Amino acid sequence: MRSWTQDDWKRALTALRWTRTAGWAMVVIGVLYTGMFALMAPLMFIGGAFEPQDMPEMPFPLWGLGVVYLIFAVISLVITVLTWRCATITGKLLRHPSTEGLAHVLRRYRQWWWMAGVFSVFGCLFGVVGWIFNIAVALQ
Amino acid sequence: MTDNPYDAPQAQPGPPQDADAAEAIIGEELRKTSLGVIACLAYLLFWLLGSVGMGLWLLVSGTVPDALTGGAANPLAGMGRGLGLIYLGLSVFPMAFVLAVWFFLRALRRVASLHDPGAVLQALSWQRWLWLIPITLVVVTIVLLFVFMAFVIIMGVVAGGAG
Repeated sequence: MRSWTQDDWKRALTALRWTRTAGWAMVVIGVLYTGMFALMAPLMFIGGAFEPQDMPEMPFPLWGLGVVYLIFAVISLVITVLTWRCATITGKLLRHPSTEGLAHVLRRYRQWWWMAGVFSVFGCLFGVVGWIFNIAVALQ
Repeated sequence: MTDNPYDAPQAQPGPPQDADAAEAIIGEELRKTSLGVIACLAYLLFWLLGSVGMGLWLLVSGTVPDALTGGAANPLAGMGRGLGLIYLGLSVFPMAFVLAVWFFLRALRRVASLHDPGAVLQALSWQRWLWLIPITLVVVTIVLLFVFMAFVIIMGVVAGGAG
């Protein structure tokens, strides 16, 4: 294993600087997404409570969609907090670079990717249910 | 203190005493990242499949089924081919993201097998581009939203003028 050179560090910090900038932008996006899901969930609960008979083709009650939105809101919130922590810790590393610091940052990034994976799996499940619903409606 | 450590003589970067141990941890962290990235790749493939499938279906059928848009008030009924082309065109995004994630995964594998700072740098570089994905998506969504709103407004004005 060869050791880190100054040039390696320069390239690593450049990549991390871009990642930090993207991270801060993603915090803003995460807040918007979390807010949207958190707003949609109670709307679906209210809609499901008062007007389920208006959508007879729905294979499940409207409040079920509220539960899905609520889960999305929680996952979005966790990812947003993780992104914020990634961005702040990357900023610290950029000010005080060290191999331990880089390992610490990469641990945070790993947690972020795992949470993004959870979001992806849930998104896939939701998408499959949507497809089945659309095909069922189209075949009726 | 300046943001760039190379401009600040008091904050010169460099490996500490136990650099070997830390580098081993860096490799381990990146290796463990693969699982989450594979899940994201699955989602992107799902998105790509849905986008291409829907695009081809609309292109071939030439019409948007009433069941998907609300029956009698289906404003998209005759626009199947155009919408199909739009879907296929937008498939460029999931395709590019799938490729980027694929290269990131390959870089992560190299980190695990080579134990080389060069491999770590490659992985960090791909991760940087991948973190830009959500920003690109949101910008594209906002632009599309504005285009759609403009379309709806124009259609409304035309319909109002004809009435």
